[in-house]
Amino acid sequence: MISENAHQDKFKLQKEAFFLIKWLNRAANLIIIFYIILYLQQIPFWHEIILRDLDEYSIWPPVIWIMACAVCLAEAGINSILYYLPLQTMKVILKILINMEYTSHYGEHALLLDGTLGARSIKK
Amino acid sequence: MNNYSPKLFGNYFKGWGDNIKERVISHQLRVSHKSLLAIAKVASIFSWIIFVFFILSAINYYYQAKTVYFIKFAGSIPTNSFEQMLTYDFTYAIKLFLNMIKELLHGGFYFLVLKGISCGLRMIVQTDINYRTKAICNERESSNDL
Repeated sequence: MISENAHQDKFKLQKEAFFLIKWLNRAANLIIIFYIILYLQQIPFWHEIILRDLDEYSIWPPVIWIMACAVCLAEAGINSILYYLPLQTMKVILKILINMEYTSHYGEHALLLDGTLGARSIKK
Repeated sequence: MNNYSPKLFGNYFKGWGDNIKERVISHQLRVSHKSLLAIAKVASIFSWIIFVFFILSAINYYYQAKTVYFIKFAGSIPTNSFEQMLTYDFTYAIKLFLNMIKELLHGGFYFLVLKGISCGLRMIVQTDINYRTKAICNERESSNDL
């Protein structure tokens, strides 16, 4: 039998993991929104550059704006993915580790108590 | 006798009252466990250092922009104060603000990843200990039955 404190210590680690999962998810979403805003404000800058480079070809002005938007969105997308993927990966790894730790202590039956992930009960 | 240093693990195993479990843990905490927990601790400490560093970096970004402004435009524009200029040039203010936020977000990213590594490593050690403890307990139970 394990003492009450041991249970609390275990739950402390798992609660920390749940807390991290929550913030990893929030940070991943926040980074996407942030990079979209960051690169949207660069659209005029890119518009100027494209306009200067393609001055000799008479291109319809909205096309230049669309090209500027596409460049900015591509930049935002690449930068977002660079941060989004590691955060999401870390989130999933932590979820799996919580699951593994819970199973190692309480066994397979405890894991399937709520039908999906038994460790979710600790969160409450 | 415990094999692990209480200094290294702190209160991590505090309250593990059961003697058998404690003995098993002390036997099971081998070099690999110790090194994993040491890495976890270093990652945890380093995450805070990185976080503070990026906060300072964000503040530094503001002062850097201020310095560049004074070097570049001193005397050539009517407003001498950097803060005053920010109220006039709204797009520059937004750009500066977004770049400061970017630094903070990068700090947050590294902080969360390092914290995640630290937490993950500790959970791996705990999982391993749980399995080993369970195996030893089962072994003892089966030997008692015999």
